[in-house]
Amino acid sequence: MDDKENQLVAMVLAGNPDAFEPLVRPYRRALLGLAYRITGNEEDAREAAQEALLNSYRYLGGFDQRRSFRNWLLRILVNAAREAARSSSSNRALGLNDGADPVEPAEGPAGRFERKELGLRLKDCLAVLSERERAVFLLRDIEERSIRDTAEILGCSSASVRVHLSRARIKVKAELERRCPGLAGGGS
Amino acid sequence: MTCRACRSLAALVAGGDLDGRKRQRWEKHLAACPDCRREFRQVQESLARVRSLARREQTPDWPEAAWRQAVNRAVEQARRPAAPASLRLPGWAWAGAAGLLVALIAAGVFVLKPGRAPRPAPERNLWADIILPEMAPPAPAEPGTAPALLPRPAASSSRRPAAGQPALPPPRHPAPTVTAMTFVSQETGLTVHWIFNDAFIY
Repeated sequence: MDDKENQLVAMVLAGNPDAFEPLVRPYRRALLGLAYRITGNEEDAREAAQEALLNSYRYLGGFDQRRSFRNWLLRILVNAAREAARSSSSNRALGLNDGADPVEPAEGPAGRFERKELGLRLKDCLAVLSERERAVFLLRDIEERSIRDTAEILGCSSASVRVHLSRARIKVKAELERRCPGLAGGGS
Repeated sequence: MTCRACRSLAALVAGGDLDGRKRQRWEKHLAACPDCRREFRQVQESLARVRSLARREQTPDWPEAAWRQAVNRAVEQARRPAAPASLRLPGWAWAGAAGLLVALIAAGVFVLKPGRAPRPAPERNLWADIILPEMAPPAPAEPGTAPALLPRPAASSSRRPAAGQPALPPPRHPAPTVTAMTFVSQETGLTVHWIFNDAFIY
């Protein structure tokens, strides 16, 4: 954790709420992006991110400043997003785009269609993962966090992350092969 | 190393998550096993495709105003005083309390249902035993009236005053047949009525 973050944390804890916004601003996109991948839709993602901001402010006093603030914040977010995904009445909590969410303005209709199709297929593949496998897979392979960071965010050991990651990759590969053989690198 | 173990490790190697002695053993097995080599290539390619798709996928971002609003809301909510500990109960506790309340109200309504035949008075009544030992047995309760409290016949009273002692005075208040208690929460306005009959059955 860098000095600037330490100072901002100290300021918030000293009763200066204005220091909170600059403290969390560097993670603004990561908060919403990860919540979106876990919950599978933007509305639940915003709620989860809002809950994470609230809890991070409320429990900042319990944060160990020797550790990574980003990982601590993302851990709160993952818990909030998993809760939101569980309580969501829809069954969209599968990790990737449902096709109704953001689009790239520069992308043509054909590109959008292809991406939507791929997203839906990938969504089906991720559906075979358990909740923990999905969280590990999203953090390590989609968000590209390190094994150590993933373990810290999920509150488990690196060995546990490796076990779940291995299972998740094998399952995703098998599902890709089964559902869309052209996608899963079927080369011999 | 077995092929099964090799494939499990291949999923880690594909993402660059294995090194050291395990990696060396895995490489040794892979060099001698074409099936595992093929499996490894497939895992590598599927992972690369998933990662590529994820990079192409657009995730949402906060508009500046929405971001500011979210942070301000978080700060404001966090600075509000927390609910008292007595109110911080899990959801199932509140649901259970609500169910119990409904059951109590239903039972109360059932007991006080209009037109229901009055319950026969109890054969022995503690109130009458203590307060009205000398009263004569009452007339049977008429239909449609609240059941009267039955004093115990004087002849069988074990608390009958000894000869020469004055009899106890008649009661100043008629014996209640129904007792009601009302609890009102000052915080939530929740109102609970408890209604008991003469036998203290709510």
